[in-house]
Amino acid sequence: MQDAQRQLLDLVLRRLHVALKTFRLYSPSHAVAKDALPNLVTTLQQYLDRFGPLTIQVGKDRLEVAGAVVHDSGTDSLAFFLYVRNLAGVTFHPGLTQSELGTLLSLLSQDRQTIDAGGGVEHLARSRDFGHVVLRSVALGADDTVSEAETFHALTQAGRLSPQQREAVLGVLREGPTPTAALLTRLYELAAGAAGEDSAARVQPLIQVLQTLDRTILDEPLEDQAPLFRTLAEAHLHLAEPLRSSVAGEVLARAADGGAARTIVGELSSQEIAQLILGCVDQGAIGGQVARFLEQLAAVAENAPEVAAILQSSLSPRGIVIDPLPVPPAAQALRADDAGPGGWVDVPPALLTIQSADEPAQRTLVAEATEGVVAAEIIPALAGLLTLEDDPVEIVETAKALAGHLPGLAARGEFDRLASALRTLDGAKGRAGPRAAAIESELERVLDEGLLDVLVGEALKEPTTVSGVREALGILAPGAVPRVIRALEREPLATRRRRLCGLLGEICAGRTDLLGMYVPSASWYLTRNLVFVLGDQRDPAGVRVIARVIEHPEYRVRREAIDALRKIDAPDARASLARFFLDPDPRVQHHMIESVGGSYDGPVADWLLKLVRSADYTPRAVALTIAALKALARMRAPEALPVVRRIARFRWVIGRNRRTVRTAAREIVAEWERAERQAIDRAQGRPA
Amino acid sequence: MSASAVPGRSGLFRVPQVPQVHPDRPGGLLRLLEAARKNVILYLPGHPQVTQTLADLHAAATLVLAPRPGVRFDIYEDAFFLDNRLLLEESVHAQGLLTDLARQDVGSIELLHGITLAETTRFAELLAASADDAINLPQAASQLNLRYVRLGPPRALRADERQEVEVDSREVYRIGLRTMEGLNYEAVRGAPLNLRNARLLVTSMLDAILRDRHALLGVAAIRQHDEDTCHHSVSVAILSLMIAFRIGLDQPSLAALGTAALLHDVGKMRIPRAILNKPGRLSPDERAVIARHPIYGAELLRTLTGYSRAAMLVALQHHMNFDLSGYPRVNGDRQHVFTRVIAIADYFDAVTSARRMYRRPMLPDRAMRDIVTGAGSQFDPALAKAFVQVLGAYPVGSVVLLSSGETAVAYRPTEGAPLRPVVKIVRDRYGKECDPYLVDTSRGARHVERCVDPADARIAPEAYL
Repeated sequence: MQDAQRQLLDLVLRRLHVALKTFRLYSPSHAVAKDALPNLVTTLQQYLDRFGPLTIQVGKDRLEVAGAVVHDSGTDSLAFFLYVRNLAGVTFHPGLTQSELGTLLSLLSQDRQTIDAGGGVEHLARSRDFGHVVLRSVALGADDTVSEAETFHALTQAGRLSPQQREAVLGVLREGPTPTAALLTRLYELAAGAAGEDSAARVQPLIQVLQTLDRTILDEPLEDQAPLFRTLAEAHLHLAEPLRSSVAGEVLARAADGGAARTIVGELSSQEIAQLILGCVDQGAIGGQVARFLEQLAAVAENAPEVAAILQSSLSPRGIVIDPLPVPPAAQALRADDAGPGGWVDVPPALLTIQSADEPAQRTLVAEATEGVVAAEIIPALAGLLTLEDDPVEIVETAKALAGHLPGLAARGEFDRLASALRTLDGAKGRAGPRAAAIESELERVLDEGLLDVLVGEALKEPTTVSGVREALGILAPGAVPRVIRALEREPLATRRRRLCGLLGEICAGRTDLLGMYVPSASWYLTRNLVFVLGDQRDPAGVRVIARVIEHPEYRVRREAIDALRKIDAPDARASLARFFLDPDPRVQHHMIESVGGSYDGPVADWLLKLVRSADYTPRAVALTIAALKALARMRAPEALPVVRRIARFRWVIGRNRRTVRTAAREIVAEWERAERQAIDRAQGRPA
Repeated sequence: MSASAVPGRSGLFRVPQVPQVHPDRPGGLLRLLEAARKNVILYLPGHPQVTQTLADLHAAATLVLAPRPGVRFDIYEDAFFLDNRLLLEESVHAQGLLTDLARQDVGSIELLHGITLAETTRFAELLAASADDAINLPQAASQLNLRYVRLGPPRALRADERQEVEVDSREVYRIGLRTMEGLNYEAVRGAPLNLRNARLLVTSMLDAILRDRHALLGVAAIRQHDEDTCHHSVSVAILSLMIAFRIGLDQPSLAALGTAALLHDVGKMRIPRAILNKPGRLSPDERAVIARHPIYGAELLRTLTGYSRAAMLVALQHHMNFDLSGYPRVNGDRQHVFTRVIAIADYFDAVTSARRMYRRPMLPDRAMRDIVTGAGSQFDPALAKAFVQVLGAYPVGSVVLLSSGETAVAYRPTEGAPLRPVVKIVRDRYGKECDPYLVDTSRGARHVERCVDPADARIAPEAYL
């Protein structure tokens, strides 16, 4: 259905619903009801003029027009309104009047009991004698009644009839050529609604009708086909002029193309064909027109010469001579697929007989014919189908079908195939456009129904997990991460927590954003674990997340952050690390100093020297000073050596803590100087 | 003589409101009973629709029971039976009644001579009340003391009874067409497919094969159709079941295979008829549209469950070829075994079907030869061999010229000797028509020289099958 038709249809349905509700509340003579009616009439007439008869099929929560479904759910919907009144369908024909519509609205606005008491909608409609409205109630007889307009649409547009329509149409054909001709005439008249006065345009739907009838008859048992085809052909002779000549002209002109036209011509006798040809030629240039028809005919009908002879004899008195018939194309030329050698002479006999060597192959085939094999093969087939589709609606539906198989794969431990299916689903999301969210939500549903628990459980198994599990979790990361984090938060065992952290690190590789939204979290220990994971990932993008916990109230989180930042070798990480110099907690400071590595870092050295120069000799400060001295030595900070030497050379120091610092400084200087000497010796090539 | 036929007109179409019931075909009563039951469910008591259908049912019952004391319909598995005859059409059309009766543990319904309208009404009301399990049907029936209606307990069909089931191959084929028509229309509308009817049909086909496989083969051998018809689907199902029977598939697999074969081309319902039936050659774009029918088919069948899911595989894969050189191109390592069976049947029926738009059909022996020589590339070698055994090198319905100069129609393949079928001689060595008679070419001196085109020979093979 085109957009313009759809828009107008929506308007018609909206106005019909409003009018029905209005008629339900007010009497037809009420001013409100009188106002509602013209709006509906105008819109409906506009629709009928542009698109021909309108047939609405009614369902409980949907309306259907020309194969297009209008979902209309809820108890306040138009569909429900009509459905509870036992209405299966309504058809409006062009020529509908305001008075008819008013009567219809009055009828339908009654409640179900009143309608039933009157004999049902269909009966009531018949008693009102509507000229342009046909109502169809839900009929549960052996066959449903058939709407003329619906059948017209099926014959001219869809090209396929419902079983009831088929029975009705073939019923007419079985009655003989005269009723069939009447049917064709009626269909021709119905086509007028959409085609206006253009007679050529009005004939075209009828040609389509003939094609559909041809296909319908072809679906009948072979023994029933011949009389039906014969009736269809004969019906052309029973059509009134000018319809007969218009249709016959089209049929004869199309006979060479095959299909219905060829069948119809094939069913007619030479005399009948000649009669049709004579009926559809103009008075001017009769010879040329007849010759053209005969040329078409010669290609398909064996009786063409006979037809030509009949025509010649009837045209001779008028002095018209028909050109000789062209030679029909050779029959062999049609046999495109039948070229090549025939017979069995050159075919090895072994290909025709089953030998003992063939039996294993047949046994294998039988063994493969099981429901289990189907279940196994359906998943790659769905995945394959998903890659072939381009319609977002279909992509979503196939994705849903495929997603439904994921728990089964997990339950059977087929994690590689699960990962493969997930990869396909992930790819499909990109092609589903705005409908990708539907795939996401389907995946979430499947995950919630236990798939994730199975995957996480499998991923945490020791020893090494089955392949595919971690890949699957990686693909599912957006959905899986929150669940793994929840599991981590609740897990009391350190070993399992470590494994969960490892798992998180793997499934969030390259996607620190997934972890970032949980840092900092409510519990300090979870935050610490997540910071650990971020550090383990060594992804510079994680620095920004870790930086959020530099001022975390829990020192263990800050301590973890130092480790994490140290692992990430990036300028941002070093800058963030420097902020820990200001941390007020000596435990963090100590950890910071301990974590200083062997490479020289100016700002760190400055901060360490500041600590060393501190005049605080409390036990905690002494520990920090000694750690700082060692760290300076590790990084061989050149500006630190004179400071350390000076401390080492102090002769008189008061207090045990100061002596402890001096002793540490002496050891550090000795070791530092020894290392420097060795370095010089190595540079000069002297043995150690 | 018909019970009643209330002519109703909706525009031009005269539709019989009730099926015509003939005393010799009592099965029609079931369809009327179903109509009455549904109307009682839907309408209030006394509604004209209810009154009319009950009167129709009673009139038909009186007509059917006039020459006999009673008529009993048994329910075995998924179908109604009258004596040992499967009522396929009634089982398809009165599906709701069948399902409700089976759920209520009713194994038979017997209607007795003298049944009154009042009792007919009570019975229909009882059936309607049992539809939503509000009552126990057998118990309620005995409490009501129905005099002319008897309900029996369920009983399974014994293996020997199964063999005795009478199935008319022609009727199976005819119902097959209607079943396919219903399935196709459901596919067009995007409605759920009624696979129950498809399964019932396949079971009947299997019964027919068990009883006389050559009879069914004879019906399917008439290929005056093309690929866009229900005939094609039904023929492919029959041929596929024959192959599967030959290699020894079990009953559940045969049922799933048959259903899949019926539905293998269901995706074509989404392709405009103007393209499917276009006279002349197709443009590359049109070919591309048609080549998507396996995808459409798989889409229509993707929500099936259980063994029926095989239908989706078959719909997607049936043009892929054994070596996966066909279409659509999907990452996969093989065709499913059902697909391989159905691909052979599909090819054979498609190329030999008579009604093609731009070319004449291929002779059956040529098609068979293509299948044999295409084994390993287009077709599964083991199945290609099985197919030759089932149909013979000169398939049933082929018009053949014998070494004796006589013209014959292949009538039946000979097991183990595919080149030597049983034929029916229809013309003597001088080309003169003769009284048809059977000759077994595997026994006498005559052998088949070659196939000839029935159109060229002016022979209608269907007249001799």
